[in-house]
Amino acid sequence: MAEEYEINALIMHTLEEYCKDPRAMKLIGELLQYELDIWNRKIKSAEIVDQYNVMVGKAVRDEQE
Amino acid sequence: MKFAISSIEMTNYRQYKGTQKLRFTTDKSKNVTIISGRNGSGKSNILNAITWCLYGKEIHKKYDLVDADSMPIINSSELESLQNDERSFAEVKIHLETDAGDWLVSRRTEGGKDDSGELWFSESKLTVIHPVGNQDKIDTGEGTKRLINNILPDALESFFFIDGEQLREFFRVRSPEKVADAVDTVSQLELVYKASEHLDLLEKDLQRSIIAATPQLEKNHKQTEFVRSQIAQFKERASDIKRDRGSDTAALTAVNEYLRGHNLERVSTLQYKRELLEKEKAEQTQANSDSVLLRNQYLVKVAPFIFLKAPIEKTYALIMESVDKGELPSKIKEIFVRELIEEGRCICGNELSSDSDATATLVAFSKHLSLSELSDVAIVGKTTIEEILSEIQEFPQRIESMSIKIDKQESRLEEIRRDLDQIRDDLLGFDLEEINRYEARREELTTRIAEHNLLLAELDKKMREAQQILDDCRKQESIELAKHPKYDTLKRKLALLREIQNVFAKTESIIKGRIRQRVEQKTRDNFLTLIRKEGAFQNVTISDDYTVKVQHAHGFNVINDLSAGEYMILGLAFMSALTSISGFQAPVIIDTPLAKIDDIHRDYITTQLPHFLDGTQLILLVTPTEYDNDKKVKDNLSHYLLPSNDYMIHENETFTISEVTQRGNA
Repeated sequence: MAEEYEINALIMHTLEEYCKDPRAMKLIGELLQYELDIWNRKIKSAEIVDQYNVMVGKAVRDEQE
Repeated sequence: MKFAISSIEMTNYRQYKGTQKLRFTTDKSKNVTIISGRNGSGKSNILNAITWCLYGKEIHKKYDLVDADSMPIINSSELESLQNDERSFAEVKIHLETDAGDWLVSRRTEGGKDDSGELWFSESKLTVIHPVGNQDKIDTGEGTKRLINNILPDALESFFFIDGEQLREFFRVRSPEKVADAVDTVSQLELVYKASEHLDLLEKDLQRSIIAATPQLEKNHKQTEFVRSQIAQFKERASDIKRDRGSDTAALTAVNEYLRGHNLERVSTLQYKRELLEKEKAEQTQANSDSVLLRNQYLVKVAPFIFLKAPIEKTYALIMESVDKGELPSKIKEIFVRELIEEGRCICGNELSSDSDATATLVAFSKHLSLSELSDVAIVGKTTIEEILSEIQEFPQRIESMSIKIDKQESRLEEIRRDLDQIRDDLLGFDLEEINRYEARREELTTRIAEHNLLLAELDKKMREAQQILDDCRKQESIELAKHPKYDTLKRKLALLREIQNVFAKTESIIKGRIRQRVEQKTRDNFLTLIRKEGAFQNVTISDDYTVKVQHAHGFNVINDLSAGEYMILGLAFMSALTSISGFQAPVIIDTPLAKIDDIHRDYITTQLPHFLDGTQLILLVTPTEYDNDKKVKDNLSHYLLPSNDYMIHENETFTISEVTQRGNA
């Protein structure tokens, strides 16, 4: 995956344009960064879903605080 | 990460027996490498060696060494020389210069003869040695592929390592699906797809944890699972149909081209006329469908007015009667009158004492205020009714003009159908077996493509219905969860992840559309830079459905009428657009880039391409006809070519073993 290229900026810009909720956008950024970190690494699906649960849970907690 | 190839070492790889090493000097201004060899001498196998080493696959080969009947990767003379129970290997090593240091990528496969003389081969093994901190790290095994994918993903490899023949064919046998696939691949939405896939899994996990909470949730969960599996099936089916439609469209294009290029002039003229008519038919069908839709929308809007014409006219007459009698009071704002009374001062400055006549008048006014507000409604109503009455009056004329337009379109479509039938009859009238065969094939393909389109429309409808059910299930689930405070966090999690899924779903096609526009713009710029006939072409467009058009200076679409050289240039322009948009900086390697191209285009490509790639390493695998025998091409490339990057392939007398040497060192 090409980092820091024009095309990634285009994707992020479009997502920001259509995501009106800053909390959801922040989480989108974190999820995509996580996907980039694990790109092409053999990680068990259950482990990834657990990590997603942690990230979504944190976003919900941040919102409640 | 940027990289260039500094050397390739092949040992017993296909026709290269022993070890052959090619060293490339990487230089931004002298960015061209030439490897010249006759057809069959092993040029393509140098390209194959690169893709096999990096990705474990060969561009020209469908089968790997596991296929017993195909030529093995290990050199056949080497295998032939083995005794029973002896083994050997084939290996390709590639040195890469990256902006993070030097890498060595190697792939090795072993093979030999067993005790009965039967050949055996092992799976190939990938090894990457790359710098991490101050040390070199060695990674082995297929998991190592991720390292290669970081410098150039497998999916993008075909935009950099190019077979010239396939590139020429890319737009000649045009298929919007192929263009869409390429744009899709370069879009790099994989991260978004993966995030979406993992959010789906998390949603399922979260739902599973509450199945048994209430019977309603359990029922809801079952329905959600069922609809999800239905949607997955629909998507898979749609993807299969699109693939089939793509190959049928390509086959139909080939049939059309055969008929258009037929040596009987009458046949080719009829086919040309047929293609123009089919284009017009498609446009008329679309226009007709739009007109019918517009008429239906108008009818839906105006029908209630027509139906209620009498009461509407009666209401309007009543309102007008009241207006004429002056019964509708003037508009007075309640708040303004009340404020005057409360403040006890008129706008003229006089005091409004509680017992004054003026105050009494205002109080009387305020009692009529409810009537005054009604007057607002009545005035709005009057205007609206006037608009409705005007619509009713215009209705006969508008509907007639719409119907006339639709009738004209339909009769033109009927004429076109008749003309197309006549052309088919005329072509069959030649009573030539080959034409009859092509006509039958054409009929079959056209019918199949229409069936594919119908099935896709049905699937699309089913998918939208299923998605609606899924949305309803989610709403129901949210209502049910709200009844149980202990599930509050879970409800919030589900809401958040679904919101993200909605953003992903909404933006996917928008992102692809924007990338398509960039590919279109860069392809156009590249094509108009590379093309020889300056001023002959105006534009290159890639429409929403990924149909590529090349616009002639006089406005005609000439995508079907380009020469081999022009197709090659269009292919190069498109691939260059994709490579630059992908953001990856890797060598461009083209096998037989100049074959079947006239000398003027050869001259133009070899003048422009190296400069055009802006210092990117360009390795050209050429035949002597393309390069050695063409002085102009050699002169052009000499500006970008260091002597150390000029190679020739030599074959032995029996054409079973090849050797690559630097030119002049043979």
